[in-house]
Amino acid sequence: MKISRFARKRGIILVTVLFLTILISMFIGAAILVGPRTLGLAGSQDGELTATAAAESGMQYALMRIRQDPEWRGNGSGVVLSTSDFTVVEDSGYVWGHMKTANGGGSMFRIRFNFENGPDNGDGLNDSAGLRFLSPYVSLNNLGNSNPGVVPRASDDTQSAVDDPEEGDYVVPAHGICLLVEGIAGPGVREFDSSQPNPKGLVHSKILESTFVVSNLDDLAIDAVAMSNSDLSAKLQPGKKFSVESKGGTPRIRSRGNVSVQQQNGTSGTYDSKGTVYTKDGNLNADYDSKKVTVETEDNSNPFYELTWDELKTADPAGPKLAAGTYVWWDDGSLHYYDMNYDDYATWVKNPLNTTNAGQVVFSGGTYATGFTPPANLTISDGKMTITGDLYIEPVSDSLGGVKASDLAIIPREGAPEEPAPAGGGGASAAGPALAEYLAGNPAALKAFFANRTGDGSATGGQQGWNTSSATGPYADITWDANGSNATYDPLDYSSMENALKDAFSDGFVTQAELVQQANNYNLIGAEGDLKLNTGDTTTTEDLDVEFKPASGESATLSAEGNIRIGAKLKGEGASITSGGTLTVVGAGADLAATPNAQEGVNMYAKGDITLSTLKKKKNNTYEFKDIKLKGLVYTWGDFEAKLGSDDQATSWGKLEIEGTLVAYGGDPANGKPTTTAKGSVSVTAEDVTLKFDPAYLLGVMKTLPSNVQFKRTVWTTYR
Amino acid sequence: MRRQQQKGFNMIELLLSLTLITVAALTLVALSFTAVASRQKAESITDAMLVAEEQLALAVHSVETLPQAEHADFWDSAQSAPYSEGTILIGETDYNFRVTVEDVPTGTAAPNRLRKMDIVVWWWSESPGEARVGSGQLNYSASRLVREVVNDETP
Repeated sequence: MKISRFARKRGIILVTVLFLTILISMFIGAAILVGPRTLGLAGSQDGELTATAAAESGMQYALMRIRQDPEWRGNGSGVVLSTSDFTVVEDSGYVWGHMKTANGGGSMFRIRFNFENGPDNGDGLNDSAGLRFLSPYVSLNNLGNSNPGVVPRASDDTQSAVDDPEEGDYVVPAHGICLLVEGIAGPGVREFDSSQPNPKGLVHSKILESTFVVSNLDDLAIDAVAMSNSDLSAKLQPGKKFSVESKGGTPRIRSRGNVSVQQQNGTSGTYDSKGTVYTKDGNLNADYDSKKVTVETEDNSNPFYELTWDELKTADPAGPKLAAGTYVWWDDGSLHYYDMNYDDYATWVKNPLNTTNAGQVVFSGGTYATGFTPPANLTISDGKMTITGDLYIEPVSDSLGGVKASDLAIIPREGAPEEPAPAGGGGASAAGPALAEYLAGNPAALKAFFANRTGDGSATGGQQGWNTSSATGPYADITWDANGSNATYDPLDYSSMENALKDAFSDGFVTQAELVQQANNYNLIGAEGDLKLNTGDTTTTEDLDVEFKPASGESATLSAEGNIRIGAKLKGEGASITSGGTLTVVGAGADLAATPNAQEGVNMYAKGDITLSTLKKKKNNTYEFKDIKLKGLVYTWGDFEAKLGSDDQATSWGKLEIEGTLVAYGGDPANGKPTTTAKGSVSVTAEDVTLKFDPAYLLGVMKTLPSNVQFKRTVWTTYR
Repeated sequence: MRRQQQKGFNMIELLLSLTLITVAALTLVALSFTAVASRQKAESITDAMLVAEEQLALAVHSVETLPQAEHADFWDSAQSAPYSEGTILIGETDYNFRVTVEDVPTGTAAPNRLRKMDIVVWWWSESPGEARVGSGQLNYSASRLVREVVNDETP
């Protein structure tokens, strides 16, 4: 076929036009693609940066919360923080927060602590009611743990549980924190629904992982294993040691008084440690290796660890409660309640008219008595009281609405003696104080005792003798003119009466024989706490138990507004005893551990003195002292005394071991450093003593970390 | 007559071709402008992100590393007033920025406060809210939380 020249020209034009069309289309296509993609790349960069900033914000939030509560694990409840542009929700170990930027964009962070593998299985949390969000990245707050902790990953299945909390790629150091925070940005998180932690739509996601250690933990640790506002003294059996150790940092003892360790025979005892002792004058009165022990002068401007009553976790008055008063175990296995404080009870029951008074029987024959229902968290069985959760001792009112009793005492019927009875009746040195105590609380006996004691007038400067003629009210006014100087004694005050007796004794108006006789008449010879009712009951503290037994991972706090006196074997874990007065444990030994975490690290706390005595009277009327083992913070506003041995009679002594921290503050810590050293002594009589500092308990009791404790980031990893 | 008609394009063909070429050319030019504008905007956003990152990092660095007295204003500054503001020239563009901080009501006191830091970076316009025809609002904003840190030596 012949193609004309003109037709060939038109073909070329067609090809050219087609070529140009394709070329232009390519340009147009490229332009269409390039513009949005360039913007998209910028948007992607923006998303990643915003997600990273959100993750870092989550990390800052978590660290703030941990400083606020060292045990924090995202265990708040519901919306914990809400402003116009920032909201945070905490629920069952999950945390999610949402932030808005100035131009209306949104970002989110998410943190997961819950292992979802059963109650307290490595995470200290119960499983959530329903998985809040799927994420294999689990954070670990190991701050309160003095051992390293494994950081596990959750599985990818719908349960998203940590199968084995002991298995992980790496560990967090002791007292460290590993935070894995997911930051999310993009259109899917522009709006926020507090009940919905999962984004709706397209997002950018970034995972930041950081490990933090506490930078100044040593400052806490060396703040000390024991702190006493006054003297710290120990009497040990020959050849035994006063050992001071630490689970972190240098073991240190701080005292604003003297520190001394003696043996029973009065010679120097051994102080064994590799640390520092701070004392009032820079001297340590003990045998020690100067290459291992540094002795320095305590700087009084340095504060002691301060834990106020308000900061203390105590049992909630609105929670389970037991009436204050004295609970007495009788030989037949029955438990009797008296609505009076222990001191009132001890005086009252010594009156022969009251000795057989059964009070209110609350437990008898293996069952609760009619009309008595034990509070939740308390179980009573034969000779045993088991505390399974917080228990508040509720003050009892008198008929006029005043407080009749606020103490809690649990004792055997014949009492719980703190020391062996004095050998041979104890002589005047034992009878005098006992008589003074009795007379100070018994007006009739007081008047009778002094009624016929008048001076002979032979001393210069006036009449010498006791004068009971000018009675005021039911009490005698007792004045004593000794060698021309008048001394007036307060008949209601124990120490004043003790001084009166001492003066009368030293000036020959009362003989030793008479003191002993009078004390015997009133049935007073015996140790503190020995009621000597002569009921024939033989139940001793050895036969009784008070056990703390909270659920695994939980704690049980026993709190009273007044004094607490426990005459029984004391044991358990997760235990905390807080007393608004004195705390006296008189029993056949104690093995009590607090929970090393934020809220329950206190083992014992008392506004008054803490006295521990483990005297056990054996069947052959000899004595032995049992051991005491405490874990946690032991804190008293007054003096701490541990009587695990006695010189009065041949006894075997017990051992004292405290793992945690012991503080004898010497006053109300809310008022700051005490102005005198009158209170705050530590006195220990034991076979040997071991104090082991464990900062886990110290961190645990702090509601907030002190400012000198800082988080130091040691590892930083980014995923995605 | 017939032969003359076969020598060139008729008027309709010519007009159609010109129209097609014009439309294509105009589209190409428009798209080119759009692409250039998008690229410029993307570049500007990237630069603005750098400015924002830098300013946030400076503030965080100050809070986390300097003694407390030197960043007290961060924690004590009034929330209505800018914590810092200024202009940074990148290429031929002035990037204005303004950093504001606001309290996060965590219930914690010093030295454990938390503040939310917001930064707005804008260019071309006098204020961040203004829009440019064809480009929309030319600004970038970011936020992050900052926690109080005590850096002073322990007494």
